[in-house]
Amino acid sequence: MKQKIILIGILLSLTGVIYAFTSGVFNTAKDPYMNLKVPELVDYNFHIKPILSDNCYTCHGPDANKRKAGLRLDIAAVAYSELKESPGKFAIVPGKPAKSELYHRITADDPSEIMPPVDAKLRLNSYEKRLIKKWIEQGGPYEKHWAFIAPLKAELPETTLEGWAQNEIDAFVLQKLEENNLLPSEKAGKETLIRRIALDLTGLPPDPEVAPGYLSDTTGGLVSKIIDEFLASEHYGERMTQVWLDVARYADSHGYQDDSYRTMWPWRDWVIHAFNKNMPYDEFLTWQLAGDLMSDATREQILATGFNRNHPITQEGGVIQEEYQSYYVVDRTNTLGKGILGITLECAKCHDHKYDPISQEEYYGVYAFFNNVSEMGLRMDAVQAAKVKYFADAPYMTITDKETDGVLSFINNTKGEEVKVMIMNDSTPRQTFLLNRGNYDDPTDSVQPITPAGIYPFSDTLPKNRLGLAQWVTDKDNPLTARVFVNRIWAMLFGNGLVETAEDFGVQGSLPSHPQLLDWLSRDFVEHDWDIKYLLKKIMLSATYQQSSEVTPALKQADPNNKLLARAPRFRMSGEMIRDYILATSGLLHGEIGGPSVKPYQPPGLWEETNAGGDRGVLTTYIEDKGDGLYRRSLYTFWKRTLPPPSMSIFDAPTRDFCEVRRQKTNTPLQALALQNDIQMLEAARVLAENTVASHREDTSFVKEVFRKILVRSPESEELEVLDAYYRDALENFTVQTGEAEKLLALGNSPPRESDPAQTAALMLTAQVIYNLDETITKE
Amino acid sequence: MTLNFNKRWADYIILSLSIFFVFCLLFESYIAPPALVAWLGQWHPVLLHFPIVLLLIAIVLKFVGTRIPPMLLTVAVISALLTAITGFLLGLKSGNKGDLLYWHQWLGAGVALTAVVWYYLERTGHGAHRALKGLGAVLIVFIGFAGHYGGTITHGEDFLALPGSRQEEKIPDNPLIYEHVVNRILKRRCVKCHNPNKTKGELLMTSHDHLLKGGESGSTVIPGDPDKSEIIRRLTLPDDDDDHMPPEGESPLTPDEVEILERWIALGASDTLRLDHLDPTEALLTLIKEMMEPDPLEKWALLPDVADSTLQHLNSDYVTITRLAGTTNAVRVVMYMPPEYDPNHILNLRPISDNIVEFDLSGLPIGERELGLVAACTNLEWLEIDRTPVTDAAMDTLNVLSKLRLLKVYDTEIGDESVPLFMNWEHLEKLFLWNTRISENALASLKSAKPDLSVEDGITGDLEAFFVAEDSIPKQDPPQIP
Amino acid sequence: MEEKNKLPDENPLKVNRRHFFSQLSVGIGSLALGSLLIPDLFKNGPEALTVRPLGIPHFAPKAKRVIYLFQAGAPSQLETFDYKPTLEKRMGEDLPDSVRNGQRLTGMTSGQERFPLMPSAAKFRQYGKSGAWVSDFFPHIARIADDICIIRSMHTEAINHDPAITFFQTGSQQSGRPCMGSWMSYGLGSENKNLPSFVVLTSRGKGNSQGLYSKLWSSGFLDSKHQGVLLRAGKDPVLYLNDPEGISRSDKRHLLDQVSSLNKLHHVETGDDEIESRIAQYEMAYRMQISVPDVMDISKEPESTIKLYGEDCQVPGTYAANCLQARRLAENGVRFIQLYHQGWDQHGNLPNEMAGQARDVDKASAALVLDLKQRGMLEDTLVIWGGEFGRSNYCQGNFDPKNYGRDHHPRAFSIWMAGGGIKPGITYGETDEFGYNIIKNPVHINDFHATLMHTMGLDHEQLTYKYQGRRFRLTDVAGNVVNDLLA
Repeated sequence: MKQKIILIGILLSLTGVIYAFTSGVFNTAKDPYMNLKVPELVDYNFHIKPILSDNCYTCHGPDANKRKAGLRLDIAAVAYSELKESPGKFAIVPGKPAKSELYHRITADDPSEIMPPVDAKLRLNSYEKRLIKKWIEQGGPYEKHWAFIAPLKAELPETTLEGWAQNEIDAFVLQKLEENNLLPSEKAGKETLIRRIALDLTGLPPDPEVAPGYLSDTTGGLVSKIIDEFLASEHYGERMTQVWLDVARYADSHGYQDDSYRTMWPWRDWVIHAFNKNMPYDEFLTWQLAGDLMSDATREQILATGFNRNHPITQEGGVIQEEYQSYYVVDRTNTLGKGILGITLECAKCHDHKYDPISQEEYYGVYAFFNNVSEMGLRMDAVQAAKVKYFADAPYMTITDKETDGVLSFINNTKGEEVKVMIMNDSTPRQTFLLNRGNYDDPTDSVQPITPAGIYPFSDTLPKNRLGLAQWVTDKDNPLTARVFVNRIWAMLFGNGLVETAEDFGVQGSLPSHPQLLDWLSRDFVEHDWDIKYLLKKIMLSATYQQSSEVTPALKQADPNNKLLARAPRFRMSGEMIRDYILATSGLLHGEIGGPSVKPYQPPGLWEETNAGGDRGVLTTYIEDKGDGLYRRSLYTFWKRTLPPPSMSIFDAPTRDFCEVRRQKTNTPLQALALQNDIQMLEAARVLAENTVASHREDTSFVKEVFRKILVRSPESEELEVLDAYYRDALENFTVQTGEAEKLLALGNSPPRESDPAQTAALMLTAQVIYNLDETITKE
Repeated sequence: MTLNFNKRWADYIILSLSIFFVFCLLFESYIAPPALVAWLGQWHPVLLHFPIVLLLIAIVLKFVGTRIPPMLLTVAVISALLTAITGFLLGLKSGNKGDLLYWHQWLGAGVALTAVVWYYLERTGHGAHRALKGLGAVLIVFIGFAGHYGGTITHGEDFLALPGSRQEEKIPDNPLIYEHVVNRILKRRCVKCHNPNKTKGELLMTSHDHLLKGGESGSTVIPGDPDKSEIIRRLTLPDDDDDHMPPEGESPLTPDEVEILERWIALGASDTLRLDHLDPTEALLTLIKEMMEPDPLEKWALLPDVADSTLQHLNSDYVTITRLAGTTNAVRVVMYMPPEYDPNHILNLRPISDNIVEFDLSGLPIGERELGLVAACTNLEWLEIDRTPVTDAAMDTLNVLSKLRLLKVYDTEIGDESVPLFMNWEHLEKLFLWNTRISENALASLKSAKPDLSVEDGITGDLEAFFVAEDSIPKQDPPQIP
Repeated sequence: MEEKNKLPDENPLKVNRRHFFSQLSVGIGSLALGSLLIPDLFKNGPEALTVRPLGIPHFAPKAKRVIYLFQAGAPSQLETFDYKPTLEKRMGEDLPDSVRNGQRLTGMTSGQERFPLMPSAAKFRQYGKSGAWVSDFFPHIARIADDICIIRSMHTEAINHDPAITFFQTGSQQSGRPCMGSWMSYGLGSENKNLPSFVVLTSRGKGNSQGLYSKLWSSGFLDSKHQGVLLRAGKDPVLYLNDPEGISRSDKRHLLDQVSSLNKLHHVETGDDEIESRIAQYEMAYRMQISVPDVMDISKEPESTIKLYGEDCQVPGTYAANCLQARRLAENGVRFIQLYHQGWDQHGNLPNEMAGQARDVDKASAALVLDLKQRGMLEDTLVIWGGEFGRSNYCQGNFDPKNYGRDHHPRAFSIWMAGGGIKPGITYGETDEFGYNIIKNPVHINDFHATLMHTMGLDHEQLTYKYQGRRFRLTDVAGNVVNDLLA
């Protein structure tokens, strides 16, 4: 008897081992999702909705036309109720996954049963399935989408780490870190920090002559002091404008074929002015959306509305005007959505939004606000326009000398030259219709101006015009406006927003990494009257911002993408910043603010090759500026939509054909080539070398000096060795072959300065090495 | 006679297990077992073999009238219960239960509980011998069906089908459209329900005549008019339409299959139409050709595995190695001329020589050793060695490449000695040789020997005259822009 | 990156493994019936939901690269490949409204009271075994009739150049989407690491032109490394490619060595791997400085080749030169080679202008096909020739057979393709006797895209990119592969 039991026991365990082996107990990682732990409490907004919206909403979401089987999973009532097509069955039975058809379908394997259907080419992974199961078990509760609930200031979370936090921001960040058993990085070195703040607030490196002063400064509140100084600088306005121009799709040409010149630059000058005098964000928006409708509107307020005329305008012969007029209005509508509300309005142009609560009717409701402009499209082609200097399409305002001396003094215009700027008006009221499938020639029902109620209701007390729209947008309880802006400022400083998809806060957008922090900041921002400088300072004073950007192996392991902010970010500067940086450090930068756009170096022939040949008006050929025009800050570089400045687009600048709020940060060989061979860069290296050689007697300090000028820190001994050796080496070469040296020193238009050619050329190459370092073009 | 042994522990176990199991069955919908318990479910497939074997033995013994060893019956019953319980747990994990699973579960339960009853009767001695035999018989039936359903669940309906009966025969070179193509599709998708035994909608699809005759809704196929033909209408309805064919649950036809039926009907739904009757722009041609030639991916499935890491490692600035498609093990290797050429770039590829199906060495100064490596690529189908210093001698080493389909050797020094080689490669379809030393006659003999082989010998004759001989851009004064 | 693409468990194998049945079978399989089960494991259950690793075709491709000879401005189908004798018979008569049937007109002819029909300025003849109709404007293309597939049933919605070209390039009339070349680069990666995978070459004829713009080779929301690189005639083919006077190749090497050694030092300090990839990019740039000029240098091309393409091909920036360039780029593993030849917008003076345009492109286009054919490159290279839409069968402005013009026409136009798994020697699709409406086998631009991707081994429904919460495709939500065109 005993033996038999033992025998059976052995048999069982043996088979057990075999079974375990075959069923993959020993070779795990087959399904990486198997090991993901389902959270104790499943959150609808953060765990479930992304799955449902991404996989199910296409057929079971807000879009009434595409809805299958009458089922919609975005609304609790419908999801809980009996299924129209299969009586007795329910998509979701709170608490009972086994009885919930939803769960059956996503776990089914029969091709005719499984959801999403086979042809959707989508499939839930095991983790997602377990999430949904648990969610249903927990009662399958629904909540409003997080971004459509007005933000509230949460209690500051309790944290254990003492003495790190410097303000509220840190509390939220630290909480997440402690949840993940991570520690914040130590504070960044003074030099790094100063450079970081300077770049963030002015887009320029700190003056290497002033920086040491800061370093020696022992008084407390150093950082706070630095921040204030940079915020006070005029370059602050330029820096902020640079970013806003992408949102406003600003350009100096009309776009489309036969691209021709337009004068919108006075509007750009206004933006700089507005930022520099720290105009509150709500006012900033109101003026741009509806300045012309404000009670006894000032010239400045009217000028601001140029924002909504920055879109491309066609000059192609034989276009159908109505078609393009509707494109223009669509552009304004989408820009409001993407740039200001951070929502993909455009998805509701042809049909109800598939994911967010925006009906097609509501889309045209917003459209209606922008549909009353007395625009007729361009009246003439590029060539005629050039002849008669027709650089603004009606409606426009004409800015006179008198105004540039007075109320519009911030416009940097040459005396005696009037300039026309396109602006908004409501002087041609049009009845707006819902356009079937978005086709301009297929109008259906008429619609009234209205905004998406699902986001924030449009109060009856508001006027049904752009002014009302502006007030709706800037209402302190509008759930999006402040969040979106705060998030973009955060992205400007940290490279990534708290919501990574800065352009989409909707259901399909990514979720905030620190929801409470985002809400707290947004509230705080609004409570402080939308004060942008205050917001920037708030963030910069946080220990989070001031961390070192060093990536320890541990951190790389734990949080490769730095979602938790256990370190400061480290990312490549924008093309504009890189160019400005190099101009500034070389001493070439010409600091003038505003004025007509300028034409710095550009490889010859680019415009000619792509335009239609022959005389095509003002922008037929690219004629480089002489003198200062070559060395202005990059936001003044002439922007031809159909062929943007290559030195910018190579570094991921958008085309400005439409509103863009987030630039890629790619890393390509073309960038390497530009940094090596763009005449602008070479000239900078040359001039920097010349000045250094001329102003320093003994050449032992050359390299050190150049290094300090460019990177605003003194080189490590190792670095100095490498560079010194290189310099000596180059010097030897050039002393024998002065011919080569002179060739190099002939680069660029700036007048050469008396200095020893061999030394200068050698130092120029050394400077080039430093200009091509990753550190130089990176914000650390 | 009774089993006279007093192993009370066995009774208790069996009793408690039975109660637990019954409880499970009754309150199924309220049960959400913790992970560990659910995991026990995984043991079902292990355990189920014991009751099957042991119970059967016991029953056999019963029938032949020999005494059943008590321990045998005890273990059998316990294992039956355990199997049932674990099976139940496993069942919980699969969201919705199909019929199969449903029956399997209840029959399984039946087996277990009947076994318990039997045990009880044996134990207490109640129940006539005959009754017990009957019980055994019932058990056999239960075990049989439960087992069958279980098996079907696991390996699908037709896993008992005889070998061969499942795979379809290859389509001949010049197939009859109906017999070899259309009928094949119908067999695969429709005949299941439209056959003599199970003539749904009074429609038979097993023969051409029946198909044309149609079913209750008549006009199944209207030669020349696919749009009016019921079959096409049904096939192209939206999936959720009740009239859609095949009905929900059956795997639908692929778009290509539908298009084939559509075109075939459009062309008159004849049963004598052959592939070579079709005009070259006819869609059917392509569709059927695609059906006929096996997807290369299947052909390559036999190649030895190669890891991405290996490919990555062998990739370099001037050598690009990529899988030909998806996750296949067939790779394509291209090398471009680096500033300083190094044979090792190629020689290093030996580890993956069996995986190289396409090899592009055009314009490289390759020598004997490199070609040696090429010769080692026995699965090579596509080889480009044009504009290389390749010689006849070297070419000869390549004669092992029996799978070669395409070869580029233009602009080389090879001569007539290589021609026999071209004749040997039976799979060779395309050959590009011009500007070589091969003589006119040799070329002619090659062409006559292999009429199917397309030999590209450059731009010659009147084409050359028309294009190259004189630069024939007509010169005119440029038109003016209006 | 479209993360769904990467999920390993989208692989049917694992999908199945995770559910009840397969667990069972593995269990039993291991114990009793062993191998018998393994094939069955994947038999039933959902059809294969294939993992689509980027940079590799979905299925075995016919074409590995594309050369797109885009004729910007839209050549008239009626003077190229769509022969309409009726127009000769009814010359001067008005286009019947029944035929026009509501087609919207551009602002250039909407004012016209009459729409007098105008036949082709050039004679038509049949060529090759297929007896394809080709006009006398294109004697050389006529000679390759049996190598090409003429499609006479292309159609689009756009009636103006900008939206129409944008539509062809990106699958959408409004700008902002990635264009074909970028999609291919994204889906198939580059074959030669020392060259961009998507290049653009432009040339201009003497005919009435429309401008080009960088968004026609922009990568839209895709990573900008997929952007088309404009290869320019002259000494600086790629922007900033050349080192300045006074810096020799060895100087540059030396300089870069310093850069990377310092970068490496800094990498150790910061631990940021982006620095490593920066170093790699500098190396690639350095290699490009050799490989690009190499490809562009046609000095080693034999006389016969020069003559094949026409003497013009020695003049940088001409269409002929670009065709020869295109072949060399294709040979060197560039995925998508986009040529633009401007000047096809014949609103007036068509007979004269079109003759000129045809002279620019006829011989070189045909030569390219022949050259690819003899090099066995037609086997895996797809060549496409065509414009953005067609032209009206009535003349624009007043009726003058010597000097007439044709307005834009979206409803029907002709293009041709060659090689890359496309059926040679066929003429596909048909228009009515007026050449105005399609009466057989229409091919929409979305279908064209789907077919093009199919030849490249890509499933147009599965090559997606998720942006602003939506999965975008080159074919948007439409498009069917045109099987009839596939060899």
